[in-house]
Amino acid sequence: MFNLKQIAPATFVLPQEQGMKVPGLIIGTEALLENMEMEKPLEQVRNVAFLPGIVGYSIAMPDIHWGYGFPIGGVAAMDAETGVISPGGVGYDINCGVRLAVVPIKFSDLTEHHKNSLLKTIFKKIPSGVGEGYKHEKGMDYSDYKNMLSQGVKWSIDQGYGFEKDLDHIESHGFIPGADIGAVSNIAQERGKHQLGSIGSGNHFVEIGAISHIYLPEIANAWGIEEGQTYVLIHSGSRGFGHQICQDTLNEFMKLGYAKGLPDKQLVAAPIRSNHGQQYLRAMAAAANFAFNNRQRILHGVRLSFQEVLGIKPEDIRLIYDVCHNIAKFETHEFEGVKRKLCVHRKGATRAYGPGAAELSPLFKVTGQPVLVPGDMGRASHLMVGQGNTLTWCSSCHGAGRARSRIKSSAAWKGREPVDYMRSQGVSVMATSIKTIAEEMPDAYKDVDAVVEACQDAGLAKMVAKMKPHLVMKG
Amino acid sequence: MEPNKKRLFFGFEVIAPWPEKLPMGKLLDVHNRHITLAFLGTTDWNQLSQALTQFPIPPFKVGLAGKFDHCQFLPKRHSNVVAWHVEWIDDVQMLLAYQKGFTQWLIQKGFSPSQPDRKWLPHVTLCRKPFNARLWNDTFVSLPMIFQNLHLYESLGNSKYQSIWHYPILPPFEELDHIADIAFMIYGESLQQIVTHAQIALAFTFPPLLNYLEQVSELHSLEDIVIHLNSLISQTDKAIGCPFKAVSFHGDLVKRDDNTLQWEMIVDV
Repeated sequence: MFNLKQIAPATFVLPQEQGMKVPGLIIGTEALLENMEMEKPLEQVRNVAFLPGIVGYSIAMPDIHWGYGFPIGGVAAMDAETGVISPGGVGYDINCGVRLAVVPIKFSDLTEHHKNSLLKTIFKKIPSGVGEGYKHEKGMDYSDYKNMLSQGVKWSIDQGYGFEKDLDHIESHGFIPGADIGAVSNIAQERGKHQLGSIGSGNHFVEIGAISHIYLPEIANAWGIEEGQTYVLIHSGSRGFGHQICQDTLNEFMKLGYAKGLPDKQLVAAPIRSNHGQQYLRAMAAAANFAFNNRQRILHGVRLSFQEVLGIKPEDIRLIYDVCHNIAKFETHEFEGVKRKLCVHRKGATRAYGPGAAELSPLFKVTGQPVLVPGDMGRASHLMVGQGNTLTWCSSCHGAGRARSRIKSSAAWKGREPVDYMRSQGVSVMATSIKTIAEEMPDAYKDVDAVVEACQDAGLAKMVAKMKPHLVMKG
Repeated sequence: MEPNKKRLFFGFEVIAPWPEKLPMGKLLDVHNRHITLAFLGTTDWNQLSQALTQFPIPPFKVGLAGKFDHCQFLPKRHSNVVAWHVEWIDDVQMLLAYQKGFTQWLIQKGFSPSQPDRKWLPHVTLCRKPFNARLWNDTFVSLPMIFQNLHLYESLGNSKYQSIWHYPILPPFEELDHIADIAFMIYGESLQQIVTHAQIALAFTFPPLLNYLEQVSELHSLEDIVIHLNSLISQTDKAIGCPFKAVSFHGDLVKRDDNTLQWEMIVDV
């Protein structure tokens, strides 16, 4: 049905058909593509190619699966002047992302007592699960929001949640300009009020484990990564604050008729230069800054937990990097020999700048930026380095991608079975709901190794290190 | 008992997110839980099977949704069963009229439905004695429920029933398999029913949502329904948290051959 044509290793073109403004580009090995349910996600890749102002390709990463309008694992760049901004191309969880930190202790040096205490302490310090937050604290008021949006993650650092040196290790230095609290509804502000510094539910997590393998020693050395070292991986986003911004915008765009003529109304999109497009971009930036601060505060809770249990100073737990994987960003890329300002939508995809990219801090300007790829809670997660691939607007994959529905995963496990099974695999899991653990079991996901290998084969990012989870806190 | 005599009753098949654990008692199997429409007791099966050829067809094609709002011990004096009372969320007038008409039809056909003049009490029996009433009351949590298919059940004794005849009624919703999110096929006979059944589908996954349901008066399109459902999610998240990010603007309302409506609802989680 889709007639994919291979043009390079792990790179396929979906031919341009009537209505599509550009062809599709699918990253993946033949083996991966054969084992996926591809029909619906590829139809979404095709639909995205209808959007006004799209440049180059409608792109899918190897962890693609069916999403809201755009596939998850989708990338699309729009001309900044003539293109559109689509909230469905960013996702509900605006600036959902991942951050990686390393702890100056080998994981094998932790006793069982340390591991149990760590997990319990983190679980106590960092709210997780449905509706969990800092309910008994004052919460965010209007001036807090204003300050946070004008400073990005520095706002939290100035209040003692982390260190100045963290800023160089966060995508866009933890700040998306242009945010305006005036573009955010009261209900969004209410929803976010007590949620800053909390993980949320679903597939969000805090994971602790050991660096299990180094693929690229020179890059790993430059970043201070060693085999056996303890790592912390955090996955969360902008919580109810971001969800509400997406919802408010979709409601408005639908009422204004911006879905007219599109093959799927979930792609609803306003011209970037329109008042409505600009309003969404201001609100999206607000949510993006909320999410950076959220992950900063979660890491702070983890740092304090290591201090409490093992006496490790918070500043000795080094942030390696923080990436966004649900966002639209204005970037300059060369296309057909001309430099163009583009609005790059990455939904379930990670920016993967190579060496020399202007935005990167000095260390990463030399090496390329870290690309963080969480897998599932049993097998592995990966650390990669971006190659600045021009075909994908310097993008790479964001995770393993689901292979099995939540219903099927849940039905496969009863009672405490998931916890016991994970323990038998050397992974201790804590969550507010056992159902969440059942839904997130390793067999619900594709093999992340195959996904990162496809990205490496396609020249999007190189594998630097593999990480094996041992302690996992789920929402 | 004579071979053509059976202990029979008519009832709707009930579906609910039943708790994994319930207090001690002689529990009815999940598949046997029902709402009795008319209890006949020992009845001549040959006579009834003939009458069923003229069975009064329900005026509704889609089952109704409600919630269990409190625990009941029946009968009030010397109780021998624990039941959960049903408070309807759907408009129930048609069902109430049907229940009365159905009882009359049985009488006209020469059958003796139990307590035909008493007000109908929709409930689901969960357990027979012995049970600890206090424990059942203390652990009761309001849950959503729906019914589908009308059955003629034969009582086999020991709280076991088997369906010996049925008339199909669509469920208000069915859960679908979806890789990334959760999905439901919602059925209804009007926009109002579609929104009600969509809310109940969400409440099956997250029962506390029941406390935030609101009556919707102005519904003109599927977009209105999605906006309403998302407002429900927002209000719930603001108050107590909610596992759903949003209901997507996916799909269209489809008119089925039997004139009912269906909509594939996808919920981002």
